[in-house]
Amino acid sequence: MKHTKQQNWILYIPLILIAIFMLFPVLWVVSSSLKPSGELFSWPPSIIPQNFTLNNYISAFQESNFTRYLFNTVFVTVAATVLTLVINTMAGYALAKYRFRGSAVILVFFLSTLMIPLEALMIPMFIVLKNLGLYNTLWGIIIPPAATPTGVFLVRQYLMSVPDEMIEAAKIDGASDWKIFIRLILPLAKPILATLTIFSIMWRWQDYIWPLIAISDSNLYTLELALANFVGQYSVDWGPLLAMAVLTMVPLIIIFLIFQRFFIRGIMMTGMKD
Amino acid sequence: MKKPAAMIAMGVLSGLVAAGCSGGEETGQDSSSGDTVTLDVIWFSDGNEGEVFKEITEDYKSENPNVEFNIIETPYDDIYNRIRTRVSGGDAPDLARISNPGAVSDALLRLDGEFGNKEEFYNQLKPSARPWAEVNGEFVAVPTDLTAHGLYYNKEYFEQAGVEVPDSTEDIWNWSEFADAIEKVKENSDARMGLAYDMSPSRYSTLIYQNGGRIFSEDGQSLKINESESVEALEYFNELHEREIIPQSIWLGGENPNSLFRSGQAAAHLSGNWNLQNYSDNADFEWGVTYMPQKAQRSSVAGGKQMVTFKDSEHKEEAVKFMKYFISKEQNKKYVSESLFISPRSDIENIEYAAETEAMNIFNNELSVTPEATAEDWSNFEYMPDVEQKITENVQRTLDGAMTPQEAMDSIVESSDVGSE
Repeated sequence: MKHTKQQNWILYIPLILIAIFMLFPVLWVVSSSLKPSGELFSWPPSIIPQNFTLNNYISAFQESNFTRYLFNTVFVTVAATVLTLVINTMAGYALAKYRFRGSAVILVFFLSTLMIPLEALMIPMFIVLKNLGLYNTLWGIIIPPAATPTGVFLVRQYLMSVPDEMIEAAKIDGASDWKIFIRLILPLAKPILATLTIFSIMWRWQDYIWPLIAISDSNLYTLELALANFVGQYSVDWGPLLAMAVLTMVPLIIIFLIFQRFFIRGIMMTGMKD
Repeated sequence: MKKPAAMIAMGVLSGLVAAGCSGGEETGQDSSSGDTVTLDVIWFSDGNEGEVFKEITEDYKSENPNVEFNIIETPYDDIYNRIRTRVSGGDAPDLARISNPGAVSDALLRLDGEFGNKEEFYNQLKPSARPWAEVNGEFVAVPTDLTAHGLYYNKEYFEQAGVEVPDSTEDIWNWSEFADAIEKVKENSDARMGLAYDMSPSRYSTLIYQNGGRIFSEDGQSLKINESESVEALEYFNELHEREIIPQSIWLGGENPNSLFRSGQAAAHLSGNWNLQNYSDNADFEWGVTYMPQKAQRSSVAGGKQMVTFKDSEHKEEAVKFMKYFISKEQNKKYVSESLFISPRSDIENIEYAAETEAMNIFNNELSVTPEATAEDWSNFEYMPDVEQKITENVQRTLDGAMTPQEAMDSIVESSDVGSE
């Protein structure tokens, strides 16, 4: 017992050091956001603000329509994540368990879209978006990236490990395809769904280039777009930028804490299956 | 148990759909009511110029009640991305603020006919503003403000070291006096570093012009950057680094010169008038602007911003009408004096700025003695994007000792395809 405790400490010390190292930039952002602008670049740098101030937060709220951006971002994130989960689980399940002509081709086709950078697709996607009447609406940022190939691939790989016999048994018991999907597959897929949820929330929350193209009305800006507008050609408005970056980070951290349980279990379960 | 969950999910989803639709309606992009025209303006800001621009559009609206503005704030780095996507997607904006008309020239509306006589309009502009209005001889952009390079210095450190800055154009430093002065301040004050020199090919080129050189030939079809004037400029720049007057960390390490000066680490900063607002708001020590040194001649470098409209814009006429208003003497005066810019108009003189008038006068003076070669070189939209990158790379190679100044400048000429067509 004593032995293992010592071993634990040998493990913990480097882990704690690494954690501090990794956390430092985040802590630095938080601490800088509480400094007056004159102190931001002072030498020597101070980790704890010398003159604590909330002015950056106040001006971030005053100069920009923060609550509006927050609402837009939450709306986009939630809607896109729900949509992503629905589409990706169905597609992943079909590609994992249904044998049909061309299923392999479809999968490769799906994955190949990962290899084309968004920059090359931007103009064609913009034209499609515009002709669908989705340009400059929040749905324009929600729908196009919903069927992400990464998500489909994740779900497919996970569901491949569900034994065929289980599905066949359900079929013999007279369950319909829908019933199998909803009653059997979805509960089994919980860990991967949790993982995908976190991924999707992160992707949408931090998405920048696509909203930039798809939105031109500042009332529809997401937080990331609003953040980028603090950066000019020659100068960066650091104070409010840092304050808003902190506020943008907080919801993600909360969500991660909530889903963390599933997330870690997800990793363990996939690990066990191998 | 499972069914209610599915029902809730469906409910949430349809609720979201409804919310999304209403969000879209609220913002209805086009103005179909009456004759109202909404001008889409792509805009970026460094300081408060966005707010000043908004005031000007408000004034314009009160005179032209049928016009609305949709100002699309865009980060500078994504301006051309956004413009290109919208133009190619068949939704060209009506107006845009840009800094390089060459980057999107094929989409821009030719203004020759729209502004009446082109020469008449050009005559209202300062010589260093004119090259920014044209791409390949076509008048496509309205210069709205100019920038000039200049020298900021930390008054406290200069006083500590007992070094005086030139207070008139009569006693401007030459290059070696300048180097000695900064060195003296660095050694005899609390400054950790001497001169923070922006890592930018444009800022670097100031030295070339001060030494009487230029980057391109007059017709812009060949390079003159490996001639003796430019090579000497690089030798001087290298010397400033070897004597540690300019810290190596900027050009070779990517350190931010702006924060070095702002935090009181550097005694001086060679940059441009765009930092005035920033320093005036954020630097908590006494600082000033003084004249840059001279060699063969005095020179700053002229840059600037322009306003453009597009061939495919929906409301070209209204856009051009507004551009004329925006560049009119009265409005431009308001715009530049409140944003601390240099006016591109030749008939606006002795401006009373909202702040820092004394410093702005020095920048105006720097620009007035700047040879036209600088604006001609820097508005060489065909070749400059490539050449400016090569300048940075080869200057860096010289500073880290991999090349001599002559080799570095020769290598720019050898590796470029200027004038090959």
